[in-house]
Amino acid sequence: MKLTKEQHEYIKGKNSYIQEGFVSKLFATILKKKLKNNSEFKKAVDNADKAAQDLRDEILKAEKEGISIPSGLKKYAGL
Amino acid sequence: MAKSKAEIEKEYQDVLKVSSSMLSDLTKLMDDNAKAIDKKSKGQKKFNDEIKQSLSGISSYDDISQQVLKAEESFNKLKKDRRRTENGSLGIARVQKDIVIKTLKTEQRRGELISIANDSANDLANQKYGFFY
Repeated sequence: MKLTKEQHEYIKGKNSYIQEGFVSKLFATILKKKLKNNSEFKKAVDNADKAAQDLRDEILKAEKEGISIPSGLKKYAGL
Repeated sequence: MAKSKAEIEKEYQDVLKVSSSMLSDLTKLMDDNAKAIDKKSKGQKKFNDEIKQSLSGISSYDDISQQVLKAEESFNKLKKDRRRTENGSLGIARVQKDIVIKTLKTEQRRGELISIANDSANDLANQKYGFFY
């Protein structure tokens, strides 16, 4: 659905538009849609997932070898 | 309560930075495991110092690749000393180096994601409400 200019002007005058909610939510929804169809973004998500998994595996292996791992680092890795 | 523009801008700028808590955790990793080695040689001390120096040299995502290479170089220098064994200090150094590098690579991948999302958001914002009409 597309808004007419008059509808846009009306919405612009509303409190919710001025304060934040409406526009930021709409912006986030459209951005989410745009990113879902972006193959570069999907590839980057896969790469990030793989890197995080590699890190988790390395940390678990290190702990078995008696290496002390800071708790913040484990949290960062999602463990 | 709605956030002010300055607060939103600060949050946004923070997202674009390399995680400082992650960097300090990596420094802690180096310090904690150095303490575990009773008699540190000059080479081990140098390795620890070089890795910590590399970590302190990271402020943006662009710095990461260079510092990963430096960490590899530091480890290779340590490895050249044949007196160290995989079951001893060299093994600990290798694990430390692998964790440092894998953490930095994870952060780099996260940065790539943020950059793509940021570019898409900018494209959308530059359409000047084009998505309304």
